[in-house]
Amino acid sequence: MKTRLRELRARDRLNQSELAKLAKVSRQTISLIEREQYIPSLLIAKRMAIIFNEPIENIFIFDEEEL
Amino acid sequence: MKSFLKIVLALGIGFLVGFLIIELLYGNVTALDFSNLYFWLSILLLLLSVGLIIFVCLTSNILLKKNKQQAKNLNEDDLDRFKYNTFNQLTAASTTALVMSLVALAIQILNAEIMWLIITSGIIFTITVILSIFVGGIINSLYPERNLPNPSDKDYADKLFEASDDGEIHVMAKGLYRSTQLTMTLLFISMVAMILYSIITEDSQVFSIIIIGLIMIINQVKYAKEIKER
Repeated sequence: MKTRLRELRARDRLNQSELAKLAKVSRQTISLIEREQYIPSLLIAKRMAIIFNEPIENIFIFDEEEL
Repeated sequence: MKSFLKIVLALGIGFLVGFLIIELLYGNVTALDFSNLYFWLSILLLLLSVGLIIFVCLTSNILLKKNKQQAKNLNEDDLDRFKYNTFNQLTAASTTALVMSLVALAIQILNAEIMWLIITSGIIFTITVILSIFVGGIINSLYPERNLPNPSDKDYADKLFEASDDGEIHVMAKGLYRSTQLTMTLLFISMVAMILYSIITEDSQVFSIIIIGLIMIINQVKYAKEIKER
């Protein structure tokens, strides 16, 4: 899984801590997702989609093989 | 790190095997006087404990100061990362100091008759206990909004999981699983080492061997019970 989280944060001028507060998770979780070491739950993915006003598929990109 | 540990393990096994062969061939190795070795080992452990106590005191002071100031020169993410990593270092350092001072105290009580060393070891051990409690309590100063449980809480593990989010639990689970695997391996090696030691020195370690065996069994049964599908 690849993620555009860092790019979207830069676009909306959010640091990890601010995004974490909006998504109601810890900064560590945001860091794990950005480093692609953790696939977020559907709930967290949905919250990200609302925060960035982007569909989930535009934030988290899966390879064909993973699906 | 992994290859370094492999080398250390290979060296350890090589040493034990070589020692056993020499002992079986010549039988003179048990004439070695370990009391001198234990004495200097306890001194080394005490010095290391003192070093770690100083490290913990200085580092926790820096951490609490930066936390209060909200680290004017650090951005929010870097400050959070600093708090998290520094707290981990403090926990590891205080626990290591506690164990080292306890081992040193045990050596002094069981082997030596030097009263001032026994008293010094006891004082250092007491300081490390107080320090461990202090370090455990720092977490709520760092994250007051999280309402994290105290390590002395009865249901600490359950409350900690409740207060943590998915990502934190993921990190904790990975770390704990790996350290548990390592612990079980090291306990097994300790058991083998104690059996060899008992044979070579004719100083029975049966009690310790039984305790280690019980710990390994209880640990495995507890884990199986926790992950059982209901």
